[in-house]
Amino acid sequence: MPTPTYTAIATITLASTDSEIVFSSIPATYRDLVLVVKPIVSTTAFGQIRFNGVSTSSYSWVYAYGDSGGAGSVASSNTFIDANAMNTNFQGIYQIMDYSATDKHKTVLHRTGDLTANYVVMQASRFASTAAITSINFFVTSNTFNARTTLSLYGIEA
Amino acid sequence: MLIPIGFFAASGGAAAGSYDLLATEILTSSQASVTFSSLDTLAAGYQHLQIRMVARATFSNVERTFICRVNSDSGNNYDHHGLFGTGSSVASYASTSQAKIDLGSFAANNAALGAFGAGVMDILDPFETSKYTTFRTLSGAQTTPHITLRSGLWMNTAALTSIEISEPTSNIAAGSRFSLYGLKASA
Repeated sequence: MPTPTYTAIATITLASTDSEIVFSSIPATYRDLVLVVKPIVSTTAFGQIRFNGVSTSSYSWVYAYGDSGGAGSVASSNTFIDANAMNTNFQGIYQIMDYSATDKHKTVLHRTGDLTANYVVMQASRFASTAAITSINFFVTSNTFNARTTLSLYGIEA
Repeated sequence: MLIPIGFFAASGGAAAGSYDLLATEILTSSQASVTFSSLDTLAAGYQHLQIRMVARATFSNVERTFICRVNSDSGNNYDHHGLFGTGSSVASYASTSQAKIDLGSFAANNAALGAFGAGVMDILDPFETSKYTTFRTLSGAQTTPHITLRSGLWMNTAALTSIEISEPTSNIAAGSRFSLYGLKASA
């Protein structure tokens, strides 16, 4: 029996500036999450993601990019996932796979691009924890989100 | 801003029938392949398909490339090409008249314990008998490291009846998950 899914869980549209947006108490109802990010920033801001409030060196990633200067690839690790630099025309879709599973680390696939910074990125990231993800912190450094920044979270059953 | 969302998730619901979960297989033990079959009935009424996967291979390496075949066709009837990054370089390739479609790299037995790779594959117009079926997959595994965007083509206008995913040199590990979704056209 087909099961309708791809459920809108929450949408946040900022009424004022903020540097961090948190989705908390994420239910384990779904298998994957999809986070759609359409921010408004005044100048370059560096997007970062943490799960469950974990700020230890549990995050790593690899991305490939193309920009006006060419193409390349970077692998790195840190106390957050690099959600990529944002300028005035950024969009990002982050697929958080098997977020509720407790038998594996969490893999995030994402695609972003910014028409002001002139780049496109595809990226795979790992959160080295078998705990189910119950919260997502999406924050920026070197700047803030302006009002009307929108983040939407969707759940997909499996 | 802190947004508790348990209430919304409990009270919300999907718009009926545009993006539907059709089948899921979660491996409790390793196996050679995963097949979604009887698509003529399982996916009747859908325009496109999507497979979402989180997988690991049993091969003794940090990564392996998973492949896809449809309708049990193992002839040289597939083209595929890709763009990928390895953490130090980017490259692309194109292959024609192949016996399979490459989906991308997933973690394998020598990767960190608990690490898997993931992929989302879109299959466009699989039941349209005037077109070849096209595939697009975004996949990656940080452990490799590898991120890839791949396209595939099955050069046959027959409607899809089955999709088989495998790692040709070993098995797919327990804990791997493959989910099939149908996307409907507008009424």
